[in-house]
Amino acid sequence: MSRTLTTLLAAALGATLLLMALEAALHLLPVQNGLAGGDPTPDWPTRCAGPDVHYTFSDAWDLRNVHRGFTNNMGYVAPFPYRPGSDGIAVVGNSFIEGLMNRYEETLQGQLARLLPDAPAMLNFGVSGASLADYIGLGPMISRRFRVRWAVVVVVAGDFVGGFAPAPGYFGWNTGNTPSVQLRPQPVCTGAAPLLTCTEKLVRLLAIVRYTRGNLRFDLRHFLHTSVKGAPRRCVPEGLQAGDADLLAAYADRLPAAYGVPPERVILVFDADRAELYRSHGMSTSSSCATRDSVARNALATAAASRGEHVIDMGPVFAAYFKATGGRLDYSPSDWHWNAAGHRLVAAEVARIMRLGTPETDRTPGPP
Amino acid sequence: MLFTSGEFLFVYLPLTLLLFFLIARYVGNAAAAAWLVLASFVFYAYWLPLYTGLLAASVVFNYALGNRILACPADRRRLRLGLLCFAVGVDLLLLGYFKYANFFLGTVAELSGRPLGALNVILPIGISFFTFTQIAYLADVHAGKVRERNPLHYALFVSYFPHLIAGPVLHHAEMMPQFALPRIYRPRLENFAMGLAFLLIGLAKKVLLADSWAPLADDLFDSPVSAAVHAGEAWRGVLAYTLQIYFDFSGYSDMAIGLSLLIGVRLPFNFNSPYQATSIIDFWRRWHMTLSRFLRDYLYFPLGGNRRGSVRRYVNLMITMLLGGLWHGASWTFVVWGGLHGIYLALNHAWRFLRDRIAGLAAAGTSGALRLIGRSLAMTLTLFAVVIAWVFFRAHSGQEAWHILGTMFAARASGPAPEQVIALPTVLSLAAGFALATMARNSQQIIDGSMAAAVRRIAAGGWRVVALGAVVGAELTAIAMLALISASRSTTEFIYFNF
Repeated sequence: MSRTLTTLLAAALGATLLLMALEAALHLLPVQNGLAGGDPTPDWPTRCAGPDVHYTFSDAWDLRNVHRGFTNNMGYVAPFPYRPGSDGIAVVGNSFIEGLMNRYEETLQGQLARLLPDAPAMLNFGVSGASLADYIGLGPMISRRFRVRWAVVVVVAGDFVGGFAPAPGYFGWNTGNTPSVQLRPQPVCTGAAPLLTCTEKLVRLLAIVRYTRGNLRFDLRHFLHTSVKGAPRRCVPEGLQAGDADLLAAYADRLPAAYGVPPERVILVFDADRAELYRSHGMSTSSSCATRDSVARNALATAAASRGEHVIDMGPVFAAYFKATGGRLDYSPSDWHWNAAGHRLVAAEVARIMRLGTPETDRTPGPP
Repeated sequence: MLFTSGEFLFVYLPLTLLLFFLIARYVGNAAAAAWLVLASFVFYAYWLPLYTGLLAASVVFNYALGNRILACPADRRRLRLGLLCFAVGVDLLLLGYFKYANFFLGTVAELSGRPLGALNVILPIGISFFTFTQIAYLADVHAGKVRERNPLHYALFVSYFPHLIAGPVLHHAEMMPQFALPRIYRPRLENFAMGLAFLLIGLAKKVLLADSWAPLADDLFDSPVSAAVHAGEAWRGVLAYTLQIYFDFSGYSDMAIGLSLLIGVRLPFNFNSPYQATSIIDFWRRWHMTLSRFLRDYLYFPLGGNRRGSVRRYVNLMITMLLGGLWHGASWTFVVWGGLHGIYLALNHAWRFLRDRIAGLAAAGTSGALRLIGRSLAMTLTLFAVVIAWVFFRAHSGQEAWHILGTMFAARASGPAPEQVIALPTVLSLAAGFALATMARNSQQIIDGSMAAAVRRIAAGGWRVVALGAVVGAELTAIAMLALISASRSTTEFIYFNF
């Protein structure tokens, strides 16, 4: 055997031994575990976690902010089963609403249940990676199963552009063969094909894989582009692209119908640019450099408000809290999801609107 | 390119090393050295291609002027001196334009009360380092100390990628002869095992330690001056920065040493447990040692050092430290930081002068217990002085520095103490950091001491290839894990990239 080959084999042996030691150590530690995309069914052909799964959440390399919980019968994070046909308040969003980084009682839906004890069940449909297209695409699925009383939709950065490149199992904007964008959200993965192959499921049993992908959020493209490069980038303000305005107007038009509620029963919550809030020491909460996504979210807020839907801009609320206490609304810089304080402020705003209430009107049937 | 980044560790570095050794084997050592120069320029160009021309021009200009000085007959001393002054002047002008122009314009505007427009200048990364190394070369050419003049080795000495961006500040006499050694052009497992160990320790210092304390320091120093800051919060931020800057910069230096050792080229050590120093004089022999050496040899000594009486010594010390402060950045806070250290050094020298003349104090140091107490006190006092000076180094303005110092000492609890200030994990993390910095052995003691001995034992045994190969494999895996951790963070820049 040549010397080079011996060296390579020995190096592989050393690497394997270290990986085995790491795997053993990580198995004893609370690395992220449990939540994988449940396979789609014809009944619920979109992304959610597997039903009745116990999960462990922790963040970053040092496994901070450990939370343990479980998913309910429908694969969403809630400490109670969702009963078809029952009344409910749909709370929709992405990982902010899924809320793994907080105890359930600290999440928007958990705090709403405490603030509004007489309200129907708070049905959390938050899924990590979801975007605006999912929030409207889920509507008919939810309204077919439950009697939706209110729809609370939480919109955060990236939610508009996220719909243009959805991963399997998520809804996306249907751009079709024409350059214009049409509002026709549809699940990317509608068949019964599993989201994860058997091999992928087996690989996820390895703690080191879950640690790398979950805690360290490994992404090969990002990994290979982490260097300091070039002069400081200047702001090039972006705007909406062709078709965006029509898409957003249609979205605001059809969102209430998607959930089968009147416009006054839709509450859109818009997150603030909290990085800007901290940078500006509480003086500003809007992006210093406009992006297509930020402009689109502003346009959606305007369109929704003009149609009678409730719009909550969390900017002033977060800014007032930050200036008064100096406390952050999230786990930044390692994790920008809202912490308990962030969720509490959002819940207070949503509850305030719900307490004002609106007369029940005929439910608007049909998906958009 | 950052040493901690995926593209550097897993694309640039393996490709550079592989081609370096292959070219050396199949084409020749000179071609391999040329490849390393090219690779170093690519490394630099990755940041901003435009400034690669500046680096290349600087290398060519200084080498040509060095040759011109050497070509001058020894009796034409004025011409030789004129050429040296011209070359150094051009280097300093370049540095001044890119690094200090806006600083001077701002100062003039503030003094005159007239607004002056700022220049649209981007600071070329590493300009302070490659300017200083070349000034030292020119000065030594003028002094007749330069032996090695191979242009390829000169270009490699200046642009050598492990040190190009943030040091150590290399000296031609310790680098250029190494590039002439045939042994560096052959891969050696021992070099890989030791080099990767340095790289691993450096990465761990940066990724696990420095980057973990950075948010605590940023929280304090990036707050508005008017913000309500609790004394505990101020101490927490300043102590976190004290640890961050040490583990960040010494981590970077360890990585540079390790990367160079993969080729078998030894870089000088830059740190020697500076927070274990028992005096400020001792501190400067342990902190950024290559810069201290440069300032001593090319500024303090030419100014006269301590050979012209004690008053001149103190003046020379102050000038050296003030300019040393300014070298770090174009801001008065850096000048104040340098000035503070100048005062510390002057006080330290004065104290030594007095101590040597007072028999009682000198004798007090002979008892074992007293010596230990004295040493601990001296270490604490030194560290305290260093911590205070870091406030000016990190603050955005003098006003902010005074505000933070005022909060630290006046216990001006103008705001509510956030729960995190006294959170046990934070306190434990800072305590562990200081224990590590003040008590643990440093990287060169670990690697050049016990590890080198172990590697020698392995190399002498029958399983050399298998054992060293396994060590290298394990080191590579650990480095990959640390790189993944680094990539999971939003900011990973090294502090000294700014200088």
